[in-house]
Amino acid sequence: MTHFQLATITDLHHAAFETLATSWLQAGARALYLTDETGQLIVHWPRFSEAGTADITVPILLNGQLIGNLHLCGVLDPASRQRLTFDAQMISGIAQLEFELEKMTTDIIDQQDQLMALHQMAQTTRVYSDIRQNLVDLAQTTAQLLKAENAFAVLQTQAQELLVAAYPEEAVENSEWAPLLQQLLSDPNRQQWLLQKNDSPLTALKIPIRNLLVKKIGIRPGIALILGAANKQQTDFQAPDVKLFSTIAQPAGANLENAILHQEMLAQARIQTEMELAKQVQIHLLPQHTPQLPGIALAAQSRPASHVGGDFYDFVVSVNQLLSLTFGDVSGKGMPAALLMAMLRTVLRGKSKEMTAAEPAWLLSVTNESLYNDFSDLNMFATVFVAQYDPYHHLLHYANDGHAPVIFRPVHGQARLLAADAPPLGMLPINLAESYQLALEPGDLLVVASDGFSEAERSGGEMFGYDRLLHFVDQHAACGPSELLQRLFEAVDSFSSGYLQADDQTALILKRME
Amino acid sequence: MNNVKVVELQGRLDAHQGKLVDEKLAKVLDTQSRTVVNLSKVHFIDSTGLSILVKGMKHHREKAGDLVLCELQQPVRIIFELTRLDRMFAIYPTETEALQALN
Repeated sequence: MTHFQLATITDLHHAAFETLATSWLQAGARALYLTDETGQLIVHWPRFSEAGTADITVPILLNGQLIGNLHLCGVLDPASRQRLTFDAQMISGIAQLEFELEKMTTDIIDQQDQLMALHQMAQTTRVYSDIRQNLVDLAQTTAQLLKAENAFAVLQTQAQELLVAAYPEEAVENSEWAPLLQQLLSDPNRQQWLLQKNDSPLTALKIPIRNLLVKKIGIRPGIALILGAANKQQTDFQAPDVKLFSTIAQPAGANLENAILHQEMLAQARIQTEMELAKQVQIHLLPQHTPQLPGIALAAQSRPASHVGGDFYDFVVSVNQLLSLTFGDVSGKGMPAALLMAMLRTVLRGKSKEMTAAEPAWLLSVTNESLYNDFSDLNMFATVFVAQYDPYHHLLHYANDGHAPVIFRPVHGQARLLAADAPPLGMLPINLAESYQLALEPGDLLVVASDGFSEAERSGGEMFGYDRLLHFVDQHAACGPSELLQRLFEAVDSFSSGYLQADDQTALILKRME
Repeated sequence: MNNVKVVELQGRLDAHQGKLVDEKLAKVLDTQSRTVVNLSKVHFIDSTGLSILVKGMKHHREKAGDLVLCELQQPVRIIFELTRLDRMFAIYPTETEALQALN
């Protein structure tokens, strides 16, 4: 109450004081005046005359403390003394009311400030998806709201790392809070700490701390927000501070979670977009049209399990109408497989174009020489089937680096597997595959598929398998390649109905028509 | 036989389980370079599974050792035969024979 001015009251209520003074003067008093607690004159009636010696002086008290005196001149009787005492008490009453009003106003302004700051905090969190900036703002808001000299906001990440933002930033090295935090967080069951100067974790700090309020808000398993306020100005942290602190910390935790989610979504979206682009690129690496050649019909299709895959096929027709078919499956899935698939396709394509005679084993051999080091370094490999069809002699020349299933179905016979005679490409520095040839009769079929077909599963773990595949080819041998291809996808889909496609499914079908 | 380690794998040897197997084989290689991988309880292997065994085998051979396989179930054996990986690995019908071969 020391700052409270009696003068303020006489100003605010000057009409009431005027009436009071007039009634005294009318009752025969010579003068009435007020002094403050130091004896300094505040106001005098009648106005503009000098204060004489008072005949009666009564004190004006507020909460038992002297804030001034009321003086009366020219009257001495006990009734007047009593009346003056009553007047002094009335002035005390007004002072009391004014004091409380002022205090309430201050409180309201404080609360208004707090609400504004909380609102601002919520706004900032929405604006910044930058988590670090969030923490910096949070530390500042906490310090301001709690009237603390220092504050910090820390994000404990899943990797047990601490992202520290301190306020004021220049006053403290952010890392200085870390040992304290480590010590506090070593007790996983405690969420809140209120520490005084001599409490043990504080003495470990280089910076002088009088008092410290810390709260931990779990955001999700392994991720927490730790909010701290230190060195409350003038006093210690009280119950209302702890309450306010919770009010700051809870929504801050929620906001931070949103910011984290937002960042994760952005990252996810970025990956999605890139994967989608990669998928588009990969789709364009597959032939957009099947070549039209006299005497044969072709169909091929690829259906990756993830966005991108390691399966591929290609058709290259060289100048002298030699058709090269390449079909491959790079080990593994996703991006790594897709990247190697692109390399493999390029090399096979380049070499095929140069060829004038059907030498599939040579094609595999030179491709292996080009790519062996890359595949080997990455511990990856590719099963590759290469066939070259000579339309003049209806001869199919092929070589197989570990690829299965490759199915040949003669028009008057049973479907059978053309087994590989060499391990996959990229496994050995030299290639062991040899060239074989088949004379195709009209109606003969070649079906090359990726293991995504043979290994397609249904509930119970049963796989589509080679036998079912061979049987299917026998059953549908009369179909044209496009129809057969479509039915093959339908057959495997109905087999593994409702089961997620686990691997890329790619198939290529060639049929001699006439 | 004290320098040969036997690693028993089981279930599906695919991308899902592959990482664990990869780590297991790498760990084994820290101490010695001769390993028998017993596949008697493996009923499925895909290309990722194969590449992990190949990687393990290569790393063993780099250290002048070897990684051999034994007791392949029929479906797994077919995969090795079709991809001709049976030409890359030493494959034995029983664990005893595999151990003898490495000693």
